[in-house]
Parts: sequence; C-alpha cells; structure tokens
Amino acid sequence: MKSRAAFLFAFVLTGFSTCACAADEPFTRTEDVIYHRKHGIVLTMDVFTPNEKPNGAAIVLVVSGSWRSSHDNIRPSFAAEYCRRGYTLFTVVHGSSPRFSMPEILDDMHRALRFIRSRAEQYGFDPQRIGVTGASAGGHLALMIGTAGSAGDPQAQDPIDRLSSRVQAVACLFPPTDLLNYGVKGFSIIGADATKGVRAPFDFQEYDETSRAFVTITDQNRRAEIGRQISPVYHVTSDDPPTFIIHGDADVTVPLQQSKLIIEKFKEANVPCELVVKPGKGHGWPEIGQDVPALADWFDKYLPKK
Amino acid sequence: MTSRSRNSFFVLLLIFCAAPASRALAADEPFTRTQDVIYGRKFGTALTLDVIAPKENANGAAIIWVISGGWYSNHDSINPGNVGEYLKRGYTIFAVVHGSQPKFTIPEVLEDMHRSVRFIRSRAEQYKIDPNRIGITGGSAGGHLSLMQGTTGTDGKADAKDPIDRLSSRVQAVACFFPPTDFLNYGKPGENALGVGILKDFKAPFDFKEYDGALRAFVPITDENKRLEIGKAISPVYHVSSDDAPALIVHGDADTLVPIQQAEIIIARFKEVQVPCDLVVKPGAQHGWAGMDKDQLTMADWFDKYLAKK
Repeated sequence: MKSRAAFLFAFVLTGFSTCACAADEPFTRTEDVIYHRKHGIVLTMDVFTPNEKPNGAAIVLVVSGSWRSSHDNIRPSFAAEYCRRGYTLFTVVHGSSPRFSMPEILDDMHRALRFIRSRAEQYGFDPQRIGVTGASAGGHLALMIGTAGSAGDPQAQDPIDRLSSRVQAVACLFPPTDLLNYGVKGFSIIGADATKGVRAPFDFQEYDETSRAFVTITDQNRRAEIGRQISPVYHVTSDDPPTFIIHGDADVTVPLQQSKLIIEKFKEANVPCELVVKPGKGHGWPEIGQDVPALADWFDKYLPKK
Repeated sequence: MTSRSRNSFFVLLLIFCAAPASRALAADEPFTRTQDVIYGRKFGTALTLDVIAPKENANGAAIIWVISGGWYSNHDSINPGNVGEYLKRGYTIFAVVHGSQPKFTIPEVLEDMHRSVRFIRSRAEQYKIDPNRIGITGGSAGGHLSLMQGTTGTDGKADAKDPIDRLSSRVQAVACFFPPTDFLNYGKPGENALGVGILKDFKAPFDFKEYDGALRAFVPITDENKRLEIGKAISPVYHVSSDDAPALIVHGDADTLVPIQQAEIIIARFKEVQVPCDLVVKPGAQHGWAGMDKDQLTMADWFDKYLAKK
C-alpha cells in the first residue's frame, strides 16, 4: 500500500495530447483571472470561452495531480472538446502541495466556484448550469465540490462569498474518495503508514491565536476527523449532482475500489451516477483524450438548457 | 511585547496600510495605477505588484515600495496617497505585495522580494525606467526587507531557466523607516528576537521550515543552531559590504518595538565600509508618528541624490 501511495506523486496527465495553439482553435483564452487573495498571494484561473455558439453552461476543470497545481500545467487541448460544444471552461489552479494542505486547497476550490458563479453574467452562462471535472487529485476535488458544495454565507463581507459553491454535474477520472479506507477497509492514506508517499497534503495545520502562528495538528483522532471531512464518500446526500466516473481496474495509485465505494453511496441516495471501468487500465493511459467526449456527454445530459 | 508597543504596531499598520483612500481613482489623479501585475509564481499561487506611474514628468527612476508591516502583506494595503511625494518628483512606484505571515516565513518572503526586483528590472523598457536607477523603501518590516535588498541583492543566475532570474536583484538606493537589522542582538547585545522576546507576537515569520526530500513535505527547523544561522542570514547587518546601496534610515528614539539601536548598528557598519548612509533620529518618536509624510521629503531627497540620471 505504501508504494501505491507513492505513485500518486508520479502521476502526470501524460495521456492528453498537446496541440499547437493554432488560430483556428475553438476558444479564446484569458489567463490569470484572480479568484482569491490570501496570505498576500493571489489564486488564479484561466478562462476559455467558446468562439462559436456558446451553450450557456460552464465547466470547471481542476488543475491538480497529487494535489500539486501549477499554471504551467494548464493544457489548452483540454479545452477544445468542451469549447467546441459551447461550454465556457474555467481551469482552476489551487494552492499547491507541498506548501498547502488539503483543507486549504478545498477552501480555494469553494472560493473558485463562488467566484465563477459571480461572473456568470460577464461570461454569459447560467449560474445554475455548472459542471466540474478533473483527474486523480483533480477528480477528488471535483467530487468534493460535487458532494460538499455549500450555500454561501449570507453574512459574508465579500459578496462573492454569499454565493453557492454547488455544481450541477460532476464527471471525473480515477478519483480518491475515501482517504480512511484506501484500497482496503481500514487503510488510511493520511496515517503514519503512508507518510512516505503523500504527506504534505495531509500536514493539517490550524491557526493558534495565542502564538499567532500555524501549528501542526498531531492528535490522531482529530486527523482522522479531518480525513473524513476531506473524503467525498462521507458527504454523499440525495441532493448531490449527477456524477460520472471513469476508472481503470488495474489502477494501483488510486484503486478502483475508491470509485466503487462512492458509486455505491450515490446509488443508495438515488443520485444519478455511472461508473465506466476500463479493463486493464492503470492510473492514466495514452489514449485518455478519447474519453473526454464521454465526460462531455455527461455534462450535455445533466447541464441542459432550462 | 507591551500592549503599548503592540498598539504602536497597529498604529503603524494604520499609517502604512489602512489609511483610508477613496476606492475610485478620479480621472484627474496625477498617476496611473496598474493593479495585480504578476511578478512570480510559487506553489500554484501568483505574486503581484501594482505599478503606480506619474502621468507627467516621469524621471526615469523607480522606487520599490515594500508593502509590509510585521511581515504581513496585503494588496488592500496599497494606498497611492502614501507615496505622493515620490510621484510628484516623477518616480514610478512598484508596490510589491509579498507572501504574508502567518503562512509564509521571512526566508520565503525574501525570495519573493528578490524575484520582484528581477521582474521589475526585466520590465524596465515597458515601464520606461532605467534598470540601474531602482530604489527601495518601506517601514518596519518593510524597512527590514528594503535593507535586505540593499545589502543582499545579487547578480542573476546566468544559467537560470527563466530569463528573469538571470537579472540582478540589486537596488541602487534604500530609504526606510525604523527597520529591524539584527534579530540576534535586538535592542542590546545577545537579545534574541527570532519570534521571541520583544518580537514574541511575531512568531510565525520566524517559524523556519525546510523541504524534506524523503518525506516530500516541509518540516519545521527546530535545531537552535540552525535557527540562529538563519536568523543571521535574514539580518541585514551581517551582509553589509562596501558595494551596498546608499542607505537612509529614519527612526524614533522612543521606539520600543524596533529599538533605535537596530538602526545605529547598521549605520555604524555602513560607515565602516564607507557606504553612503544617514540616520535621521526623531526625538521622542515611537514606532510610527503623525506627520511621517513630511519625512518622505527627506527620503525623496535621498533618492534624488542617489538615483540621479547618470
């Protein structure tokens, strides 16, 4: 299991082909739109708007692998399929491991959704037709938004934070869903046994008012509790958005069991869901780009014009 | 720290950061402001600066304004009204926001600062400034960071992948308010202020970390000798050398948060190595005072002298 966890770090989306940015691309790209400010720094996303026939819906693509995120990892080729179908695509870069931990990353993601919703009019889409996608860690974050998206805080000082971070559809690839039962029941990926592989995203910290500094949370019960909070499987409820997952049954980095667990929960809660198992496939595959249309089909079905 | 000195810190924040300014810039403002120019990226995030340029009579020199109080930094704290004198004299202002405490530590902040100077230099042509006429200013933590730039600015790395990192991070003049200069001899010889003692309410910026390759995570540096070594590395006084930028310091002699001794010891070092320097002592003044804008005239004179057209 240790080695499985270690593989998470080696994950790259090698499968997606890159293409030269030709003038006839189906989108216009706006780089570095600031969606959040914290600790003196800014968080940004790129916006790909369709050049023709916008369909009035938006897709959020989480730029994340092993919870590392970088503006350089945005592949414009991801955008082509969605923009061709008329979607406006938001590629969200989040505070990256190893300097930011999962709870901080999730704060970024919720904020990103609220920000995107606040710009619906500017970008010309319906704020009630937003889907989210991603692979591996990006799939995990997509499912977290799907299952734990929340209403805004009406008291928030910033009007953006008064908006909802919910989405209306999720379609993702090989996502971790239960960090406390990873591959087998009872194996916690955030536990001491797994620290060789992925430690930084699980270095949970809290702000201590007395010392005015962040301190590491070491209490194992509290760590397990946070592990539950950051695992989508524990957030599944009947009002979750329809969810589509593609997962290889030979994946040793994120075991297929992770998808099976959450699909089972979705079924129990009567949330529309589908799991496509790719026989013999591991954590990513060369022709993975060919699976993007299936994700887009899901969005076409569950983000229809009202 | 006494509650009085803590209060004076917040007074400083008010003076430097939160001074109320009307949000909307009138069309007849004598400057243009370009917000959120990205000067660097780290850990998925971006670092930004604002460019505040005089509409008329630009003098071709730049002043970097370090937005920092207690090593907190925040875009909202940029108030162009605070640099009116510099703008009047034709300087282009680069208001640099750095990764802020309590998340980021001083060694990380210093990386941001070096990167910002290199970035600004790389944009000299675009912003119509002479890359060899760059000054830096700030107060308190911003003064500390200004002096660090003045004493530790370095040539670029010739083989850096990013062309910006091949440029120098040196500045040609420093003018700052009440800067910490020696965290190991803070107020008096042997007094440690690495987030303890007088600076005990500023623990986070001194929570030094290092990346552990085996764990693939950042871990706290707890070894006391290592911490002292870093304390030295982030104290400008240990970096003074004869090729440092001319430095002016304005400091109150009743300052309890940053004792005036901090300015005195670095000025003594500058004198030893014959770096042009001056210390303006404000009798009875603490950590910030009413009328600091008048002291900006003295600082502007300093920049006029040491950033003069060659």
